[in-house]
Amino acid sequence: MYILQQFINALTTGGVYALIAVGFAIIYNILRFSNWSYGATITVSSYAGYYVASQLHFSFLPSLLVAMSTGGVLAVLIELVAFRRIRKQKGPLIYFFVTSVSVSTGVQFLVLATIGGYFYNWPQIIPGEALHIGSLTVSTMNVLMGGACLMALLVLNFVLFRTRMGMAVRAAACDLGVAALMGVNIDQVISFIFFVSGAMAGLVGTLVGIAYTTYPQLGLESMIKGFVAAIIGGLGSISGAVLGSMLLALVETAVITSPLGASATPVVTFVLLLILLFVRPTGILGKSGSEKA
Amino acid sequence: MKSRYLSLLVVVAILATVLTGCKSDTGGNEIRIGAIQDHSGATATWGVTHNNAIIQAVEDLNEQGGLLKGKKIKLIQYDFKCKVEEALTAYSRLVDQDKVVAVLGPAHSGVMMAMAPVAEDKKVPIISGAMDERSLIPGPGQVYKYHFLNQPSAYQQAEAIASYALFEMGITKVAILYNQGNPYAVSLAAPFAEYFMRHGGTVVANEPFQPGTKDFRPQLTKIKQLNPEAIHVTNYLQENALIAQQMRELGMDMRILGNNACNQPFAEVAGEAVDGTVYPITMSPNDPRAQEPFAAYKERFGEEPKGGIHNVFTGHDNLMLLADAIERAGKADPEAIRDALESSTDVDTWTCKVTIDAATHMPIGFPLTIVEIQDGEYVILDDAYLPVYE
Repeated sequence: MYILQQFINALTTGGVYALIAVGFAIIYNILRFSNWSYGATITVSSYAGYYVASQLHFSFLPSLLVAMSTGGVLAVLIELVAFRRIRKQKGPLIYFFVTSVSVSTGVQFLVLATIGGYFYNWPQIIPGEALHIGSLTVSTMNVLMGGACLMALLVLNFVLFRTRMGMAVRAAACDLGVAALMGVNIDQVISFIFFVSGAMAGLVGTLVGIAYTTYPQLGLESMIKGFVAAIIGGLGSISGAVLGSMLLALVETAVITSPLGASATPVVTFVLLLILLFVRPTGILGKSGSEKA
Repeated sequence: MKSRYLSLLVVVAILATVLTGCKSDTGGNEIRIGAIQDHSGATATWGVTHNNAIIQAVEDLNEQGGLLKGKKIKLIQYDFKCKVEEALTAYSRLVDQDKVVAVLGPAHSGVMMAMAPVAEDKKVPIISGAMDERSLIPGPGQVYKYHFLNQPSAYQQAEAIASYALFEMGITKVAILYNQGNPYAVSLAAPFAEYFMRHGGTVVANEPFQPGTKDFRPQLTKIKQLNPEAIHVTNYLQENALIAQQMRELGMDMRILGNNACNQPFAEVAGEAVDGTVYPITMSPNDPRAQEPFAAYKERFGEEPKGGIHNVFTGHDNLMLLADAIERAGKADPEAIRDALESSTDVDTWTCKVTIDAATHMPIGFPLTIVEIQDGEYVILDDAYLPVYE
């Protein structure tokens, strides 16, 4: 029973990481760079959702919608301001990454300067009771996160494979230049991708904000976990992001449960990561080849 | 043409350097004091209240005539954003550029552990609330000469709650959950365990967690198995609140023994998950002594002290201790102030009469209030508790 409860703990933590990693992987898949500003988008949309929930007394779904829209719009704006010129001028991939880090830092300090460093506890807009199955406990929040991740993946799959825009996105992911020659409006497609990624950030910001409170470092701390999970699973694969998240959570929980305790978690995690990348440099499900940033 | 511009540039550069060098006014009619607090980082809730209390205390003191026969105090404040590097930069700036004679530092053990050695070089004394004894005592028989603590140290506070739990509440089986990356948390967990076990109790688990952890379920599940009567948490506000909530979710309804981070606004933030928490604090919200300062703060700043009344007291009292030392020193000189601080005896502050131990730079006999959170109210169980030593 004890082991089973710890296993459930690991799965639920994995679900949180997966939620973060998937949104991050979307940008990576199409544009081939690690969008560090994803963290900033998570933070800002979390605050937006918190604001409407606490000051305007929105219930869960409207708050979530506000957060997701804020995230989407912010991500599109970031693309317009920070990344578009680099893309137009065919700058090296590494410039995107560097710019994204600057955006992330800038936005985080903007939040600190305007809103301040307090952490905020959301009002009770989702049922707070945990689910008890026998002597096992699962938090409602974690069930929600797992469900949201699944839903997001299903919706994403539908959009990518059953809509025109999705086809355009897949074409752009294959080769931006040729897709443009085929009549695809690249600017529109890229804005769309960023909007989707931003909306995911809004989803993450709301759920993680409710579970763990909203605070300025929320995005950054989420990014660190999501990024490592995405690397383990293989940059370039969405199912890899999910797999990597689960593995990361399992390893972490196993170490905590063991006599080693939480002190050893970073050491074990990163040693395993090193071994994994040594044996399989593209991550577990990652695709090899092509330049990456 | 080019060389003319170059020489002009050189002249301007020299002038600028000379003029900025002449900027500092040493002495004159004001006493310059620095304050380094967290206005925007992880502990900003406390830091802003603490800093406001200092501002208000300086204003009140200046209104009453200042120090050293009418000199006004000039307060120069910096925000260290809960980052050690920023705090060190601020201290250097305060000493080298702003030429302060003393600094009111933050109540952050990690920061003061880094700053105390720097103060040995820069020789400007600091009063802080940093409870980790390593920020005062580098080794046996030694002390950092320029750092002074104005609240019970981590040892003293940990032993107070351990003693209270063991001897007043009859709790003998405890688990500890602490943030191993936070010196403050670590410096409370270790003495608690030591005292508890030395006096006959059992510590069934000493579980650390990584900084940044927000999900404590693996550790809590591990602890639940071992069935302690109480869980001792020694972390910052946000972490303690999340631990409490997750504990109740997992069906763990044992009592929480807290640290001084469990004072207001802990119950407001964490809700009914923390009912029954018992913790030590220098000043409780509903202590009769707290009523007037509370009202005065509210009037001056237009809001209640978000970081809790105990932070109003520490901010104010640190300045009072410094003011007393400046008066006894007789001059606005860092060395003289340092010597005066070391010999502080029965200094009148809002919390109690403070006597500094010259050997450790910690206060002697500083009593603590033990508080229990009952239905969201902070109920005083004992307002002058000192640990039992056998």
